[in-house]
Amino acid sequence: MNPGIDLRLRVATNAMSNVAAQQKDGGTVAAEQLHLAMATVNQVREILPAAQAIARGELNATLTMAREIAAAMSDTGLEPAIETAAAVEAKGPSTPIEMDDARADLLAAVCDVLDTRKGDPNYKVIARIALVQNRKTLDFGRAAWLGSGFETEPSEVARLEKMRASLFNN
Amino acid sequence: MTEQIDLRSAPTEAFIDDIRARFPTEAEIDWVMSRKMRLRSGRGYKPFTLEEIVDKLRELIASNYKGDFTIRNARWLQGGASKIQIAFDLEWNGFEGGDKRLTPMALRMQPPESIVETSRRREFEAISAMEGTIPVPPCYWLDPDGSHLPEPAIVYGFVNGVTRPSKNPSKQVTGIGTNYGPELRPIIAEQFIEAMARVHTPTPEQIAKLPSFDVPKTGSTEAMVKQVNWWRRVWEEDRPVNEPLINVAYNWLIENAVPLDHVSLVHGDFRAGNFLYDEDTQKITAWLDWELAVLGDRHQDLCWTTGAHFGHYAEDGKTFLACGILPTDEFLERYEKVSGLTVDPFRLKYFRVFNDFMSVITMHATGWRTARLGKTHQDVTVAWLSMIGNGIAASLCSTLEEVL
Repeated sequence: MNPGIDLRLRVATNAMSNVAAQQKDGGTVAAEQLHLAMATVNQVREILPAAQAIARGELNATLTMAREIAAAMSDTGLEPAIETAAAVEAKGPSTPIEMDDARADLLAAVCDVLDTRKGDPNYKVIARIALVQNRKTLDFGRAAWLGSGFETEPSEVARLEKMRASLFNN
Repeated sequence: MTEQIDLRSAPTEAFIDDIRARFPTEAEIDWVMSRKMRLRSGRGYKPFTLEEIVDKLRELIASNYKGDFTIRNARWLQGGASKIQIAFDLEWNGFEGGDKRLTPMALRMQPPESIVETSRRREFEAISAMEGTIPVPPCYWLDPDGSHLPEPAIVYGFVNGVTRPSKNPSKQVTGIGTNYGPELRPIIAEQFIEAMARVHTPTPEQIAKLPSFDVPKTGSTEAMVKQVNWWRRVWEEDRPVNEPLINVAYNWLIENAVPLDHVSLVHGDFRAGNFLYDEDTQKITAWLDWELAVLGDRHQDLCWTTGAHFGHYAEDGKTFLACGILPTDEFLERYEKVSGLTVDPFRLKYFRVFNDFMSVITMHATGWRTARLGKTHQDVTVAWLSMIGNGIAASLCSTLEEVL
């Protein structure tokens, strides 16, 4: 996962106070850190309105992943984690932190199945499900931070821009 | 996720030992990773003044060099997202005790944790083993465990040169890789391939200069499994949350590891941007950044070099130039001729998965953890770079869907 809003703001202020401000003899290093710190603060400010939609979208894709894996393979033991995460998703105005925590527990349960059931005849089926849904969760990060200029697949930009607009409109 | 202190931020010996046992790797890598975990709950990055670093540097040099010396013109160096670098001039008599001279040098020291946690000992050995074979900076001194400097460090020669043309040679290209321009391109290409071939065909004497590297056996997958375990171990030590993609990739890499056919020194980051060249003579003056070097399969470098992130499209808008120098097929053909080694398409695919696996772990696990714990002098850069991981992870999903 990518660093959250709190962490990104914290590293930005750390960079300014611990590095840039200390290195009066720092020249270009200090200038680069200051530039990135300011860019980070601006990006985080821009993304804040979509934070809940992003967390909800990621939780939803992870729930779909877990449900499909549980349907494709017997005795995965995923049901309790699915129920807990589904309850957080259903309760309405959950905070991004609540949704991220529910998703983290669900991901741990899914990864446990992937590690312990790799000899199962259906392993490839659940591995494919995991890849498809994992990519859907990655799309939220790719769309949200599109402005960073790190998108490596130019043909995906238009689709991600559309997704980004939708996140900010919800 | 809730960014609370978890076991990975304050690991117990039992936690460290459990991961070591589950993902065994090379002895020196094990030492580096275990050291990182044992120091993890300690301090984060503490700002140093230039004078403080120079005082410690003086200690390191004095403990290794018995003559008189003076450190002059120390200044911070920019570049890279992982190490603290200082350039300086050393007034000394050289190792042979000749005339007083001024030698430009650079100190490369790791912060408490880096976006890639690696061995200064291995970096020192790899550069030293290549001296006289390809252009590399001369290595002078090593502080492998931070006995003198605040953290492990090496001192090597400061080499002049640029990583990219100081003037944009042509504006018609697209992509994020370095654009050398149509005139310089073939000149760099020839030197690039020649250097890569030499790195990939080390002599027994050169391998003997790498005591911190496990020497792999040909015909065996043992070394590859250790390498895959190295990065899975990093994942388990650093990740904030699970990502199923990593578990699927790990299982595939272990199951499909290919027996080694030839022992190469693999640079690990062999690409445009990691060599310096002289703009007047158009000669490569130094190959840099050896911290990810391993003894292993040449396809790791070949796949890295020809990756999408380091190339761009030529002036015709259609031809992709690997590392901005040659079309990929031509690059691989010429490499085969110069090195006398074959290029195997399956191994290239295997290392496409491996390299993306490693990159996603670096961006999504270590990038997050080092920034979260305030371990570097560039936390804001590390957190920024972490964003690259999303696109690479999506690409890894696609490749795995193809090969599963």
